[in-house]
Amino acid sequence: MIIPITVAAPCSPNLLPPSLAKISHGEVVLIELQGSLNIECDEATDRNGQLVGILRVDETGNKPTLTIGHHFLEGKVVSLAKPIAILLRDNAEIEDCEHSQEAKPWRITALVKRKIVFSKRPMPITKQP
Amino acid sequence: MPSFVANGLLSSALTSSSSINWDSQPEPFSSTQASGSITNEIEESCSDLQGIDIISEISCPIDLSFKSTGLLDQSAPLPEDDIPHFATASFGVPSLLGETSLSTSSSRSLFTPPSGPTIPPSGPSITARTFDGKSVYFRRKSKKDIPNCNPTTTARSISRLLDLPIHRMLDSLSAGLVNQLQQSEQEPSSAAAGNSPKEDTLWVDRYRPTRFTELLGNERIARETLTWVKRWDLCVFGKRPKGKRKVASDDENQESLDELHRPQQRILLLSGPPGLGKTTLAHVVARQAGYELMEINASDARTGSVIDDRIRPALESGSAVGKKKPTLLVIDEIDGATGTGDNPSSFVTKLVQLIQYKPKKKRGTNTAHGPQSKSPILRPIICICNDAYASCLTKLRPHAYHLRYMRPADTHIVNRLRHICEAETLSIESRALSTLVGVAKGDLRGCLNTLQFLKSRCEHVTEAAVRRATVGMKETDVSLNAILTDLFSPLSKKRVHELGLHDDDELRYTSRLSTEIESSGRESTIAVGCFAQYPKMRQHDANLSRYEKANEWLLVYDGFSSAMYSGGDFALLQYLPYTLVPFYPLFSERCTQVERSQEDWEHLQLTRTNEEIYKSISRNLRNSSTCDYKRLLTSPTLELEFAPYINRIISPPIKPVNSQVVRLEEKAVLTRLIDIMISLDLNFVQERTEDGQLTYRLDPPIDVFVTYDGRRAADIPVSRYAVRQLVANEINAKLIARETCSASKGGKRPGAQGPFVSETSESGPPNKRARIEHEVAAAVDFFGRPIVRTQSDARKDLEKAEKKFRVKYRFSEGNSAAVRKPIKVGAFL
Repeated sequence: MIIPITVAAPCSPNLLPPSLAKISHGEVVLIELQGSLNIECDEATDRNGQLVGILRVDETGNKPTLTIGHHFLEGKVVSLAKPIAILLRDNAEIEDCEHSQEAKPWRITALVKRKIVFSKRPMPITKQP
Repeated sequence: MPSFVANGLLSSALTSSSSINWDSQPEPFSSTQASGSITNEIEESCSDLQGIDIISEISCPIDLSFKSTGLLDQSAPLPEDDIPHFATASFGVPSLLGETSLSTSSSRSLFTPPSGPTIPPSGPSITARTFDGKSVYFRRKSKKDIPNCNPTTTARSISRLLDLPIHRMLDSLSAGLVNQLQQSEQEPSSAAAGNSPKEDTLWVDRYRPTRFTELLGNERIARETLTWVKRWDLCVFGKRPKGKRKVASDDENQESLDELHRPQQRILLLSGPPGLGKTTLAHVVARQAGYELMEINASDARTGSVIDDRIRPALESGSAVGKKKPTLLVIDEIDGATGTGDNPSSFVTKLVQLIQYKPKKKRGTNTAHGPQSKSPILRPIICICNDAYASCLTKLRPHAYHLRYMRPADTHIVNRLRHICEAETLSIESRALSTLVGVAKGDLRGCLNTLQFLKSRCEHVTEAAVRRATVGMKETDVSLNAILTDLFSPLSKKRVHELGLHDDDELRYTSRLSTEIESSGRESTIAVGCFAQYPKMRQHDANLSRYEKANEWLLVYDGFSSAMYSGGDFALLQYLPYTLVPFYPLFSERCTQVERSQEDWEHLQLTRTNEEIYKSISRNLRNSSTCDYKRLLTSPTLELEFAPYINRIISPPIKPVNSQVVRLEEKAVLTRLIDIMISLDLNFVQERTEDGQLTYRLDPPIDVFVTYDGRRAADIPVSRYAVRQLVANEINAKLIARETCSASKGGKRPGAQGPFVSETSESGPPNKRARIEHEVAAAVDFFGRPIVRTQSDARKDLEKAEKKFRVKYRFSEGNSAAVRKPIKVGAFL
């Protein structure tokens, strides 16, 4: 089976805050957590657009920190041994393809070359009153 | 043995063992008896006797030099008239030796049994012959019984033995014999045998009271002491003190005892001049109350370790080994204990710790009984001292029940002395007795010793004899007050009479006063006392020449002492008392009671605290950020120019109104004041006074420098409580604002949105004023509850947002590679 893949132009920059842009500008970075995120919400749709945590990167750009709820994680930036491509299929096209049973067109939106690994035990923090 | 041959006295005994010149043998004993048994110093005679013992031990191999005593024993049946007399004369000593229980091995083993002289013993023996032809047998001693002794000591004692030539010894012996005979004629009932035990104890010991009723004088003190000891009964014996007034006093006792049924004051402090019977009182009371007495003389064992080594074990075990009665500890001469001041290992400090130790609560006692844990003291302690106000007892005094022993009335002492004299058949004039008591200042022990001394010299006790005997009596423990009184008032007629001075002697004051001052050893304190006293003396002196002279003498003293203590020229020490003596001719016209004032000490304390305040100010200024004030820190400037004016500067006229309603110009004054106070690190601290009122105190308290006699200087307005509260609140607000400012400068804040960011920004600069206002408002809240309106509102909003959506991170333990597994793309599709 041949899967048609199109390479899209790189997405528009300046979406990220300047400190994060130091790690990658226009490049998608994988975040690897040793653990899981428990999300409490009434409905599945409620979590759309919600804030999970705050990712901060210091000025040198190699000490990222992540704050999730009461947990504070410290991580490191690692280059991936094999880069990963992010493929995306347009919704409209998917419906069409399902109906027509044709080859599904995929689009490479980004290449992931680096990841941020949070492998240490998180530090509990208290929020300032 | 060679030492014997060297001195030659006993050489005859060595060479010819069969016939011995017995005349030479008793000499050493009789000479000791003549000098030793009559004088008071039993110890001295004992030491002499010990010397003789050593000789006898050495002479054991020949068995002759000491065996002579066996010959001359009273019980030995000797027909001649000469020798029994001889025996009574010379044999005070061996019997004395027995009495004082100094019997060494030699004295035990060498005395032959009474049957010895006549019947020849069965073992190997030596025959000796007295000079009138009677033969005596001595058993030879086996070698192993001979204690080996150091030849050097024997040589020394022998050389002492032979200080006098033989003929002199013979003379003194015969003189002693005559004396003895005369005395035995005077008192036929107590003849030769009864005479010796009398002289072996001090009269003080012999007539020491053994029962409570025999105590002389100070009845009230004695009774209070007994009462105090009895109050321990519940703790020690586990029963209530018996008594007729039991029901009435029960409740009071119950109140004053602590949880272990001990009295509140666990130490009794007996103080008083020497020789009045304080120690005797303690002994008698202890016996009366059923305690075994343990005495520790703090002047011998004066280190703090004694407490841990001896006192604590004794008190904790409750009773001594083998004794059934509980222990009562008596610490004698506690003012002789070393370590004044705050030294934590000093005797007194340790003692105070010991008695202050609180028993643990029941919860603690079960668990924490390691080797280090200490149990509370359950036995009474009596401390005895001469000067209760000695500096080393300062710490003890608040914890002790203080009883002051006074000198009993002279008539009582005289009566007691007369009884004793009658018992001792010593004829004495009653005038002589009262003189003795007067000179000794009521010192009963001193009186008795003097009387025994007089008795031993066989003098008829007259006033003159008493005077002669008490010439060297030490003027002990003259208090500083007494010295000052002596300096500023003439000798009382009574004292002149007591001392037996003539008019000329009375006028010669210099040596009397200088000795008195010198013996006290506290010249500087006396000088301070003189300095405090001499302006108070009201003399008719128009041109103040006396005061001028006194001032000059003080200057001389000051010069000397400063040369001594700063220049190190201590040769001047002997002249110091003489610079203080001139106060006597200058001011001693009227009898005045000098009170030693504590002002000098108080002022010293005040100076120290003030210096401490100055130090804290300068420290604050040095640390403060503004460097404008640093040039004010030099020593005279700080005290003279800075401290007085800053007090005026920080006391502007502000009305105590709410900080929101002050007028504009007042507001300016207030902010300026707060700026100044913050830059100087001054603040108002809230405190509660003794009567429960809240006050604001300036910290550091630099306002003491403008407070005179408890009132502030007139040109400084009185700072009211409300004003101080206002200022203190403002200062605190400003300080908090400054803190948050510096914190926000230091911390880095990312510009991201979200609940966290909004929360942190609340404590940031824009909301600062709101928070401060909130704090100020909290201080005036009606119920005193903290109002957290703004924060609680914010929190509610936050909680609403978080209710819907909350993210938690759950960390998985272990290696992340372990849970990784390959997934095919098909799993996503």
